[in-house]
Amino acid sequence: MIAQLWQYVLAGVVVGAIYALIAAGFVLIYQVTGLINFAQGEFAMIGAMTSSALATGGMPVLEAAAIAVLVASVTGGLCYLLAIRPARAATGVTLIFITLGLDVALRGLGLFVWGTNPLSLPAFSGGAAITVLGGALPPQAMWVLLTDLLVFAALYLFFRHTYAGTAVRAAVANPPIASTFGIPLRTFAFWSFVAAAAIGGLGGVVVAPITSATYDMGLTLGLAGFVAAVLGGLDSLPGALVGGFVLGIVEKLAGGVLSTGWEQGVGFLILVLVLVLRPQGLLGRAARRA
Amino acid sequence: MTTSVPVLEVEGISTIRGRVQVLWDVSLTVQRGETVAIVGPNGAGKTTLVGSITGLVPPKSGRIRINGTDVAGSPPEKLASRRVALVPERRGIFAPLTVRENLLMGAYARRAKRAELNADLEDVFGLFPALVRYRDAIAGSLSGGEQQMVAIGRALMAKPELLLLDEPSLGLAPKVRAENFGALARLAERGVTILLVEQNLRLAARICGRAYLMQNGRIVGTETSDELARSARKVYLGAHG
Repeated sequence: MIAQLWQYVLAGVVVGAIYALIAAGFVLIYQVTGLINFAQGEFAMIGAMTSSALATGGMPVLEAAAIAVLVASVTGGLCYLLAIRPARAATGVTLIFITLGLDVALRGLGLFVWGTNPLSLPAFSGGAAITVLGGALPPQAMWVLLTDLLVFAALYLFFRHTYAGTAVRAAVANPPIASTFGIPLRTFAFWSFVAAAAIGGLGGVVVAPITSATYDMGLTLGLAGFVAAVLGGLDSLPGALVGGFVLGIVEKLAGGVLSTGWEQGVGFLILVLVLVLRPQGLLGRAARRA
Repeated sequence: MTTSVPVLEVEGISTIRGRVQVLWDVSLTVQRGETVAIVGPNGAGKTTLVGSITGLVPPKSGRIRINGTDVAGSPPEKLASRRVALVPERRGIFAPLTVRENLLMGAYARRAKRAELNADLEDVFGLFPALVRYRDAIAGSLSGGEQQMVAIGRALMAKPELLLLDEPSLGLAPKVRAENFGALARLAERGVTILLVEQNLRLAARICGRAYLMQNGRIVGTETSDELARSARKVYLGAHG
């Protein structure tokens, strides 16, 4: 029984690592623009589908992965320039609806370009399953966890140890005053979309060998990423990491112990509980900026 | 007296906030090296005037020239490149950042080299020695007076040709206020051009050469610093006599 539970936990860690990446995208955009981008999951779909399609066409996996992340980043930048920036005077609710529209549009685009058939991407490295305290992980899981490590370390270094990262934090803390010192809020908003899309795309690329890629995978991943971001705290990148892993593990445990039907339902239960009991999330700040 | 272009010329601006007109045909001039006050009661429109100059609350009509260039309605991002720096009402520091990071953000638009920035940081710490030990402290954890020092220091890091201060004495203990105004007086002596918005006439008279009086969104008069000091005494005696 314990061995079985441990296996669920390991599976949850892998899924949670992907959720954490998607959640990081939500948090990045929310911190910089105050906007919840419900199209976040579609960047993962674009990453997964592009890399799988290119690899199926014969391109080496790592090259396909790099191009897929680039495509996702460009898509993120275009989403900001074409849909968000022109509507910057709109209210928060209108902007949220715009991102929901973007979500549907990008999924439709995925259907149009790649069709309904699932695509597969070879694992980045071969070999036998990795054994951790008696539980088994597929070799690709190491790539997923390594990606998390690199992405969150890069984000930490950027925000804490670069001048530009400090400027982003200043812009988040007090946008009007930051602007009087020449800190370019709109430029930062653009780059937050690009970075969030790149991270989402990377999440899609590393998960594709495990789950395969479909045009509608972004919806599930996006919702899970959103729940993870709310759970960890929408204004906290460490919260995104914690929220992702907690959600992944709870999902897999619920799916294994209760029934697979609970696997997705439990996420929404967590969402409701967090919003009622601790709206700022596990690591978020209690007071939100206006 | 210099005949050069004024650092700041505000000419007949009117500003609307929401549906309410707050400023009516406001004009003023600040020459290079001057320290000028805008004094007036609560609700006179002083902060809106500062907002109009910075671009945070663009005016509906009128002109604002900085070093001769009309900037009325241009976004606040352009302010720093015109060498104007703001010490906002209630300080407006970047609370989650350290004191050092706050100060460095003041220099964002300058794109200066690290060595130059470090030298400027030391200048600010020289002006406000009380901040030295808080260099790496989170700015939001400092007292109001120390946060005010951070806000002034941050503005100085922009190497401004014009320093705008909005109610720097607000909510501070008398001793801290005196210290901060001492630092402002030293800046004025160094030749930094200052436009000070202040309700406290006595403090304003201490560092300003002249003052504009504001009431109900209009400039209703000007006073020299001696006249301002006399007005301050009258207000003081009126309140306590």
